[in-house]
Amino acid sequence: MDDEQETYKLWRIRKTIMQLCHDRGYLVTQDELDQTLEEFKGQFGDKPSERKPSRSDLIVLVAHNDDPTDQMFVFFPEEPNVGIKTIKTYCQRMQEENITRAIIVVQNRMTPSAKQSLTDMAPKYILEQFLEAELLINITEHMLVPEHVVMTPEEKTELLSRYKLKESQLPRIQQGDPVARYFGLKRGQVVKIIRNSETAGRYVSYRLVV
Amino acid sequence: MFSHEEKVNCMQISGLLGQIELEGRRPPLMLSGKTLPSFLAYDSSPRAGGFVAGRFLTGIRPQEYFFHCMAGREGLIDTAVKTSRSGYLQRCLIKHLEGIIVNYDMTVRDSDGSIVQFYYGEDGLDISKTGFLSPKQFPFLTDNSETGSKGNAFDKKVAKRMKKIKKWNKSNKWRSKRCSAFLEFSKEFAEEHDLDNRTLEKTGRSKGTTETIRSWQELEEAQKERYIKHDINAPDPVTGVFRPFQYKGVLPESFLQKIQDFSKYELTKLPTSISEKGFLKLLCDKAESSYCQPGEAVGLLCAQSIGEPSTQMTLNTFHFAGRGEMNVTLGIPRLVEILMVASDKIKTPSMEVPILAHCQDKAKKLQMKFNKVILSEVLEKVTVNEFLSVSNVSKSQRSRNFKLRFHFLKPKFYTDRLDVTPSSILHYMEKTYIKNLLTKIKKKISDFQLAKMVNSGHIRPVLVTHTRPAAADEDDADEDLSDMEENDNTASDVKARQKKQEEQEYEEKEEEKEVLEEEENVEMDDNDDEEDEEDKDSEEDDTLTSSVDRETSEHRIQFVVLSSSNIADYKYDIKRELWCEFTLQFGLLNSKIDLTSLIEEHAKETVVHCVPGINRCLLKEVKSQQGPELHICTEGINILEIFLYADILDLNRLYSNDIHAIANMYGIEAANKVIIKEIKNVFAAYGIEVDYRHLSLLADYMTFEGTYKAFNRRAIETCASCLQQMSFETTMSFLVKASLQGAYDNLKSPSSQIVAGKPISCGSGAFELLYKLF
Repeated sequence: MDDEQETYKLWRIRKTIMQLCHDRGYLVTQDELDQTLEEFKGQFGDKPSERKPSRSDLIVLVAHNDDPTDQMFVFFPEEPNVGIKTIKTYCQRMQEENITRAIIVVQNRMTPSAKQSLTDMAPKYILEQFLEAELLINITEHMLVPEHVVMTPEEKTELLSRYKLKESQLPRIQQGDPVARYFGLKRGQVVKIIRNSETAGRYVSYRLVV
Repeated sequence: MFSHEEKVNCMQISGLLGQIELEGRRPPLMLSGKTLPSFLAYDSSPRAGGFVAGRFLTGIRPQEYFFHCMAGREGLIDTAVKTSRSGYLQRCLIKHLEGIIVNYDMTVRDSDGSIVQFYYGEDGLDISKTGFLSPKQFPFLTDNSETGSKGNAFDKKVAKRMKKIKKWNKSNKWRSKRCSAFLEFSKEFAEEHDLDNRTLEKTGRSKGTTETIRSWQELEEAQKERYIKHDINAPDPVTGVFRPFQYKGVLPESFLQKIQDFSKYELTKLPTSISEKGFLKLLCDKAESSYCQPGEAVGLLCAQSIGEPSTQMTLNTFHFAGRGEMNVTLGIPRLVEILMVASDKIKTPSMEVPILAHCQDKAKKLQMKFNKVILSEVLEKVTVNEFLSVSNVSKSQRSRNFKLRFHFLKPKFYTDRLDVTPSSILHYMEKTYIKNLLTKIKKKISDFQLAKMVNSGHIRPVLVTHTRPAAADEDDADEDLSDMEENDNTASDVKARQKKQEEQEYEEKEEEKEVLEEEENVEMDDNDDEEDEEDKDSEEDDTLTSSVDRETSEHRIQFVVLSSSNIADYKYDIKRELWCEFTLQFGLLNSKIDLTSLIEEHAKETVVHCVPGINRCLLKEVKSQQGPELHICTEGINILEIFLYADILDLNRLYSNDIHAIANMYGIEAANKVIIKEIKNVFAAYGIEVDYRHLSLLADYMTFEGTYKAFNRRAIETCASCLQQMSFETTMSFLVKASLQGAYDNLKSPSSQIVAGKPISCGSGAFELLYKLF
């Protein structure tokens, strides 16, 4: 029973991760998006208690569609509370393979010093952390969450000139906002939000990441 | 409520007045046991309880008249009290929103130029002009039009764009949520090649996947082209690309849809001879002339449209405390909670999640799991024996012992409604309950000692009283903002001291009582001992049968006994797990406490099983488009816990009234929608409808910063105009802050313009003439 639950959980998390990678523009195949629980068990095993699969088996490396050298790791640490030691080993691996972006899926929580180390490495190596519990479902599929589209720098300048705006005059979205984290947004980017509106049908709004 | 007013009037005139309510209940009894002097004491007849059987037509009795006056007076008081509340609410809204106007580029901006909405109310239409834009009024418009108006309804560019959107909608009707060129390629590639999707590479991807990606990356640009056509996202709506003043026919999509539907199904039924094209042109022209004019002070309109109906809401307490109904805050208190406090701890948080259609049978089980179980719900009885062990032991080992025996209900009484088993209860008792109980007892003992010292006049409990108000002050900080009441330090101090004294006096009385009680206890002792022996016999029988059981049970007993020095012995029902017995040991001095009532009290607040954050759980049947649907509703929230049941619940339709929780879990845009829905619900309970455009402006203003911001003093700090801040509240502190920072005001906000004696830049003051000097 416990194994069953754990496998189910891991399957859902990996599924959300794959969707997340796809939505960020990384190359993910249709089969990986559509993976069923049975297929997952076939590929990874169904006994997490006997390390089949162990969390480290779930690791994902994806390449971006526009630029094949832009790659991203998704790490699944074994220990419930991730310390600075684990982060270091991940960093080494990233250095070896010359990859600058990674997501760490934490079971329980991350120690404060580890969190600090993530921000310290920030401009060069971008590591993001997600909790397993929040990846059980994909928040962007929720009824209340409208479609967010990340804008390119050109689109952003076009928008600002169209409305004769300074950056600071746009509505804002926090960098720590769940949707902003989902898309891995950086400060200064602009997202286009297409709301389903009661009055207008579709309404386009924009938010600046701060 | 108020839509039935006419019915109520008719009923009161020719039917009966019915039950009179004061503060949500029947008229209270006086000390004499009567509601009015003319009744007998404790009269249980309806009439004495405030039921008015008379009507205005034939007249009512004097007592009934008096009751009716009491209710009427209460209504007057309510009105007097609530005007200040809703008045302050409206002032807060206005001070924040006063500078928000529609600009010449159709955007809604604050006085510092920051954009609140790109179109007012999301469609840019003036609310007072939308009356004729509903299908109901279309026949009227056609009747009063000059037939055969010429020209095209849409500009060429606009028409082209609309065609594009239409085409996309047609071809992508069945489109899945995720589409891209590579996904299309991978589908084809998987069909053509026999891929190995089992073995994994170092990267965590299967061999087949790596192969697919490699061949995609090797693909020529021209070949990729073929797949890229799948990658086109929905084109932006016309209003997102063009603006109404640029081209003809830039109109919101939902309005165009309405026209199309009408001309398709209804137009031919009308007696007019208007052509389809003429009809289109007519309505588009009408809609174009209904756009909100630049300079319109929409912020102010919004504040007034919320403020005015809030004065109509009576302060009447409005909670459905009955069984099977959720308890929700409504009326002005809820409005204040959403708009002015925006605290992350709301009074009645709740969640609602639909249950998937094929899992309806699992709903009951899930409900049980989320329901809280209190110890007193599963307890049959508790016996407490108090005895002293003084003989045969040295002086230091003399002790006062309590033997507590907890008898639990048989599982058959609760298995269908509570999610606990006898063994889970026992485990809880051993691991958590006894520890909590011991700390509770120790606290009581130390309180007792303290009380004794105070009475002898040596030490005053100054320390204790001082810590109390300080802590209370911190808690009040949030409320302070809304209530603006000053917390009187000295008053609470005195109160705390008085309370302390009262408690001490009470405890003294208790002491005397206990002496009497002890004798009773002794009598009970005998009975219990007999029972004990019986139980012991049965215990031995059980344990003999399996030695393994015995070992684990010894282990358990050991664990309990070792967990605290006050536990002398522990026994439990090994066979049926229906009782457990603790023997507690305390020093002789100062340990004379009333354990029975303490346990009784403690059992009512001890939670044996609960999901953190969730207090109660109900199932509700809701009518939806697909027929009746089962929803699970919880009092209190814990979204992450709910996520674990993704296979039973339709989590994509989870809803909660806690705006902060939604913002933290689903982001600010979702919170925006919840704000609109929650305010709408508050007004809906009173039968009031506020236009969506007002609410959407309000919500967009509140979420402008990317966080949920309220209409209060703290939030106005983000306002750009310091004179506007000062004209709100606490003028001096804002003035000091502004002068320290060297802030300046560019005199663009209405408040500052009034201060400087300039005409306000709203409405007809929104534009200026620019002269060409040279």
